[in-house]
Amino acid sequence: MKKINATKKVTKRFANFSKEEEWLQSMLNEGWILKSYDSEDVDECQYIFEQLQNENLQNVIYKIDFRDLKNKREFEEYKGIFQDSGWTLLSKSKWYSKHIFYTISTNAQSDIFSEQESYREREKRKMTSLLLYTGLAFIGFIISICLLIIFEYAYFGAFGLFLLYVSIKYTIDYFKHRKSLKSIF
Amino acid sequence: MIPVNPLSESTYLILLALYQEPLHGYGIIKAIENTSEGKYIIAPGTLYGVLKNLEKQGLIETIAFEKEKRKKKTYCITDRGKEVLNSEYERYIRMINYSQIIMQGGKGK
Repeated sequence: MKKINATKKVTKRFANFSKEEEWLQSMLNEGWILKSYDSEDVDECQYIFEQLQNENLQNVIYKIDFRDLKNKREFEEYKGIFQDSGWTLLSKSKWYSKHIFYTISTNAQSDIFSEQESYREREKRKMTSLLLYTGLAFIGFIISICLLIIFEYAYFGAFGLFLLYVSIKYTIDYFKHRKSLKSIF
Repeated sequence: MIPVNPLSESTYLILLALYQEPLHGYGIIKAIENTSEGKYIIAPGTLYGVLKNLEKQGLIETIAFEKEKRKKKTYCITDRGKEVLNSEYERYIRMINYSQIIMQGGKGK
């Protein structure tokens, strides 16, 4: 009979790639290996962990990239280049922007980037995406307020305030990533 | 338009690898590693970013394999890419020549 490994779902939100990598690493130390996660990169992300069975997996290294891939072919190419270099990609399709990789081999390279510029570009891509979501949420807020004034229906006000809250949340994340960007030399 | 800014080391190495022959993504990493005898190792995330930037600038392009869809995407250098690589190579030579004047001149005094 096949033994079913225990799984654990954790929902969490990060505004810093290094902290996210460290957290995944700390989960590993507690005996949980990441199996999958959802494509949500704006709000909280759901991570699914599985209980560690094989002791060799203790040398797992996690790394995160952030990038939009245009189509399935781009996604397959991207995945292939990393696979050939010894990294396994955990994102499942082109709909993911956040790509979590892991490697097990001990003598493989321990990073997915080999120059500082790549880290700067990763932060810039994330910031562009956050800026877009901030803008969309803010436009949504303005529209809701207009609808509130025209129809005097409280629901629009509540929805508008929610969107304002969302847009402020993204703005804070944007500045957190900008701080990371500035700390890269 | 030829970029005025100096190319990053990774960008230079990748253009150089494609100067000889068209290669697919991981083939570029391997070619650089082998030719440089392990001195230069490009990580996959850096490679992918540089390839997309070079493609956008028109310095490299993909060779279309219409019938073999499963075949890995292969990149080759464009004429403009060769021009940029050559002017960058000349810039390095000028820098080395200039450095030699200063450093060896300094030693002589």
